[in-house]
Amino acid sequence: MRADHVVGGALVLLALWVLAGSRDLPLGRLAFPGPGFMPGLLALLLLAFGVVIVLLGRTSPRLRDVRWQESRRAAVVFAIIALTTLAFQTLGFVLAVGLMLFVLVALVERQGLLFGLAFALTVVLASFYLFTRVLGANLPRGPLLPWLGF
Amino acid sequence: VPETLANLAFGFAVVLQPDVLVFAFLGCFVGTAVGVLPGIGPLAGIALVLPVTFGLDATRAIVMLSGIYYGSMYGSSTTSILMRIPGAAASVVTCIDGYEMTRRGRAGPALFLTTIASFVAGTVSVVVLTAIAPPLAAFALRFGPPEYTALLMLGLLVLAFMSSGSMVRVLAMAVLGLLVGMIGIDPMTGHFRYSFGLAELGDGVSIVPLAIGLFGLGEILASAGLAARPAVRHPRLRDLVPSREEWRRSQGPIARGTVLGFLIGLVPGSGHIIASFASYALERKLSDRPEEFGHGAVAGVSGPEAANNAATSGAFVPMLALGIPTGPVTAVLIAAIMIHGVAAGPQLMVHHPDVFWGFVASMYVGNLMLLVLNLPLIGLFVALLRVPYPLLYPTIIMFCIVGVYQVNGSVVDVWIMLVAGVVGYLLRKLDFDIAPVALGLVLAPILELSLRQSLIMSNGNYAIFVQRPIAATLLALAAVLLALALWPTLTRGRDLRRRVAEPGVEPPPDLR
Repeated sequence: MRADHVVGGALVLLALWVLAGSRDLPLGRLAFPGPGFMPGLLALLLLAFGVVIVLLGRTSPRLRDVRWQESRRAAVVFAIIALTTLAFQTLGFVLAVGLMLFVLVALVERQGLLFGLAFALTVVLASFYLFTRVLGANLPRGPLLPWLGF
Repeated sequence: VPETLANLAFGFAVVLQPDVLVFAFLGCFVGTAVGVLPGIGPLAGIALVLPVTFGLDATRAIVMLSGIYYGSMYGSSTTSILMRIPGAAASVVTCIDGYEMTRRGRAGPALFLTTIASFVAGTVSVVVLTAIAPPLAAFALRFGPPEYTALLMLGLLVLAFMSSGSMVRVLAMAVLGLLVGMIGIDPMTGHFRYSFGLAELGDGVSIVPLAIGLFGLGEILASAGLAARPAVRHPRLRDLVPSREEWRRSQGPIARGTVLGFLIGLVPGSGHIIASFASYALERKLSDRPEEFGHGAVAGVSGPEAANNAATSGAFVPMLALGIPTGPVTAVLIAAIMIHGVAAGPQLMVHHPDVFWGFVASMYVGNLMLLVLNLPLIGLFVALLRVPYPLLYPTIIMFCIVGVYQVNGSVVDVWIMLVAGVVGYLLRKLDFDIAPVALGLVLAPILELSLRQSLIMSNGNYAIFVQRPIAATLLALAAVLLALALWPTLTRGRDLRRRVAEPGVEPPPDLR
C-alpha cells in the first residue's frame, strides 16, 4: 500500500459520498445549471482524479516508509483540543482553555505540575484580559467568572 | 503618470496620519514575529489578528493585515538562516545556503543581505504595482461573468502547471477545495447544500477556520513531540556588514529574483513559495560556481528572498485590480475589507480611493519600517526563538481557537478548524500540497456564480465563452497550458517544468 493509494482511495470515497448526498439537489439542465450541477460536476472530477491518482500511485512512497513517529503525540494533542472545543461554551474560555494549557504543558510536555498550573493561569488570565478588555472580544464567560464576581 | 503620482501623494497623506502609521508598524512588527516563529505562517497570523480589525475602518484594517503578510516574508528568513528551520514555507530554500553561511560564521551578512534583498524587492515591486494596478483595474471594468469564469479556470490550470509535483494531484486538491466551497446556501436558488442540519453552515465554510486548520494546526500536529530545536546563534550588530564580494554576488540575484517573483506572484497559487524555488533554480543555472550552491552560496539566499517578497506584492495586483484572490492570504484580506462594506476589484479605486491608495502607500512605508525593524532589532526577534516549544505550541493553539471563534462567534468554526487540521496533517505526511485546497475554497463561489450568470446572459449558450475576445483569449491560454502539461505524457518526452527546475532544488529530506 502506497501514499497515493490511500489519498486517491479516500478521494474516490468522498466523491461517491457527495454524489449520493446530491440526489435531493435539483441538477437543472446543462444550459441552466441548478444548485446540484456544480457539486455533481466537481464530485465526478474528484472521482476521476482519485482513480488516476490510485492508478499512477506505484511511484509514491510506501505507507510504512512514511515517518509517523509523532502520530501518537499528535493524536493526544488533537484529543485535548477536541475536548476543549466541546467544553468551550459550557465552561467558558478561562476554564476550558486554562485546563487545556495545564494538561498540555504539565502532563503532555511534562514541564511540572506547579509550573504548568502557573503557566496556564498566567497565560489564560492575561489573554482573557487582552481579548475582552483591550480588544473588545466577546468570549464565553462560563460559570466561573460570574461566581467569582467578574 | 501625473495622475498616478497625484493619487499616490493622496495615499501618502492617508497613511502618514499618526494612527495609520501605528497600525502599519503593528502589522509589520507582528508580521516579523509571525515569520520568525516556526509553526505560525502569515495566514494564521493574519487570521488571529483579523477580529482585532473589526473595530477599525477598512483602510486601517488592510494596512495592518497586509503589513503582517509582507512582514512575515522578512521575518521568516531569520529562523531559516540561524536554525535551519523555515519560519514560513516561503523560506524553505533559504535554509539550504543560509544555514551553511551561519555554520561558516557568516550569519550576520546572510541576515543583512536577506533584509536588503527583501527591501529592494518589496519596494521595486510596489513601484511596479503602483504603475500597473490602475490601468489593469480600468481594463478589468470590461470583465463580465464569462471573463471571470475563463480567468478563474486559467488560474487553476496555472496553479497546477506551476507546481513542481504531479498536475493531477494538485488539481485533485483544488477540486477538493472547490467542493468544500459548495457547502452552504446556493446564492441563486436558496437551496441548502451539504449543511448537515447546521444553520452555521448556511454561509458556507469560511476561509479562516479552514486555513488556520490546514496550515496552523496541521503544522502543530506534525511537529508534536519532535526533538528540541538546535541552539540559536545570535550575531552582533557589527557582524552584519557583508564583504564587498558578497555584495557584488548579491546584486544580480536580487534584481532577477525581484522580476521573477513579481511575475509569479501575479498568478494564483502559493506564489511566494514557487517564486523562491524558481529563483534558486535560476541562480544555480546562471552561476559560474554552481558547486557552491548548498554550501553557503550568497546568491542562493539573496535571490529567493527577493523573489518571495516581490511575489507578495505581485499577489496584490489581481486582488486590487480584479478582486480575485491569488491565494488564501489575499482571500482573507479581501474578506477583511468586505466586513467594512468595501469590495475589492475594479471599482475599489473609484469608490474608495482612500483604501486603494492608502494601502499602496502603506507598502512603501511598511518596507522602510521593516528595514529598520529587521536589522537593529534582530536580537529581539532571535529572543523569541528561545521560548521553549512545549510552551509555545499550547499558546499558539489557544490563539488559533480564539481567532477562529471570534470571526463568527461560532464553535462550529472551531470544529471545522480541527477537522481541517487533521486533514492538513495527513495530507502533509503523505506529501500532498494543501495550498490548492484553500485556494479552491476561495474561488468556488466566484467560479460557480460567474459560470451560471454567463449562461443566463447567453440564454444557455456555452459559445459565449469563445465569442467574447477576452474570455476566448484566456481560455486559449488555458488550452495551451493544458497541452504543454499533457505533451510529455503523449510523446514520452521530458516535462518542460522538470527541465526548468534542473538542476534539482529539492530541499534536504529533513526540511520537507
